[in-house]
Amino acid sequence: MNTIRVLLKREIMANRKVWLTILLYVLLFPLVLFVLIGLPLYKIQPLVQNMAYLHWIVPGIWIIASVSTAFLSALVAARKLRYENRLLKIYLTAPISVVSIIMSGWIWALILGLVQLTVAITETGLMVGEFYTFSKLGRMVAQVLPTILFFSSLGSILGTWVDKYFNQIVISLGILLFYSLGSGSFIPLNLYPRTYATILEGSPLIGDVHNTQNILMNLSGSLMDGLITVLMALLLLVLHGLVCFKVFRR
Amino acid sequence: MEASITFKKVAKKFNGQAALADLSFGVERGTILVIVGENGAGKSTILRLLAGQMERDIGTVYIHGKDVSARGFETRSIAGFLPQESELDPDLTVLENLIIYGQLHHLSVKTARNHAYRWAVMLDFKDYLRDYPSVLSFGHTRRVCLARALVHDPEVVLLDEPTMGLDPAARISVWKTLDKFKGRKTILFATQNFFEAERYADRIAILHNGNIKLDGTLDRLMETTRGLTRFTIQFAEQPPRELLVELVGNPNIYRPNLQGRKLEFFARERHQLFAVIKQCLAFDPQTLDMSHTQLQDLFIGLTEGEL
Repeated sequence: MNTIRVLLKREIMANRKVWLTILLYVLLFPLVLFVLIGLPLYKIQPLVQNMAYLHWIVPGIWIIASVSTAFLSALVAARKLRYENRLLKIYLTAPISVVSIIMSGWIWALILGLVQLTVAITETGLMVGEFYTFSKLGRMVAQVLPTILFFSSLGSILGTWVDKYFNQIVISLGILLFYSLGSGSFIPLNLYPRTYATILEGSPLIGDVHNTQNILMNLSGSLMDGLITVLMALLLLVLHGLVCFKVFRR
Repeated sequence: MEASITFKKVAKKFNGQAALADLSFGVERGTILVIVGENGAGKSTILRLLAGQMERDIGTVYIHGKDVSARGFETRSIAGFLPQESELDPDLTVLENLIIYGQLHHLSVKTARNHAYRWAVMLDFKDYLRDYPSVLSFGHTRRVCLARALVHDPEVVLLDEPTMGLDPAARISVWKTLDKFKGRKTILFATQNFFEAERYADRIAILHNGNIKLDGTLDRLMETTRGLTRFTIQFAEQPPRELLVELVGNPNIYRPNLQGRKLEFFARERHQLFAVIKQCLAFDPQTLDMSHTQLQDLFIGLTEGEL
């Protein structure tokens, strides 16, 4: 645990040089989603299931903003570790475990994802003029957290195992575009082709988005999707760890 | 004396090619072993296996009796490694690089900082502690890497070409530092600098094709040459190539080499020298020099299979 703390401290020190970029990104990302996606679509479809569209997309903004931040942070941390700074070679000579090395990048991404979620909750609350009760907020955040965990794991894997920078960008773009525009975060699932929507409804990652929206509309939200997402995130992390364990000291 | 480092029948392959093959050797505590070998002989692989950067395929590697694979945490705690390529974290200042690495070795921030300052003074880079690695010269980067290897006061110091690319002053500074460890720490360093190997090693190992061809003190290594002497004859004008061809065909003459007006060869017996001089008389020899075989000669002879 102590070594993870040291590695996290190193992440904070290393990111001092880009603190302004990180701050602007975290502050502006939810606003950009609200202004560039929320406002235009509100004019096309003012209501979704009897709720104002601008209220309905709030969970989508939370999820996409925090998931993107966590995913990209994990990816950048993993990429730097493996390919850019020879950091891995330095770490491997220290008395720390491969698990600590992996976990530090993952936890760093998680922290940034949670910071982004907090900022998104505050900003969307200010923009739509609605703040939720602690109970409702807690239930919604509980649905968002598993997706942050999952995308932190995914970012770590992508940053470690895809060596070409261009391929990483293309794959990241594909994943984030798909999850942003194809998951029902900003566009209700019933507007997609029926077959596509049916396939998506079976995915726990889409279920997390759907459940958060349901809780917002005072409908019931299932915990099962969140649980499955957490398990998938942990499974990915364990697989990633096993492969790293075998390959890092090859 | 107790063994500090032990390799037992270690093999390591890269892409199907053997980097180390059935390698066994040991280093006693508090001594300096220098590994010399050509590029790709396996020097860096030995050091990286010890440092924990890679795992062996077969065999066992011990540091202070602990298996580096099974008890890597302990062995990495007592080893300090200077890699051949200068690897510093570019996002941290020099001081932060040293402190973070010290903390990863479970030093407190205060202790790590004190150690970092001490090494910065000893290795003469204290003016650069607040700088980022990108502004450092190669020599300073190398010294910082050495400081990082030593920041946790390791008992075993592993150095891969420690003075490669350094100017003479920097080389002396590095060796002055390492001299202080003599008798207290085990030092294993790989080099292609034969002068340094002769000057600093307690023992020298000549590595060739992933295995040790010869291993021992400098005196013992030189004994294996059995009185081989290097002769150099300088001519007034360049002699014909036929002279060299004749010498190559002589089984008692080793590594004859004709460069311009200078003929160089190795021989054991004086009468063999006289025979060569007789052959040379027709081409107006001017001077004759004799010198004892040096480590470099022995190394080239061994690795090229001529001695």
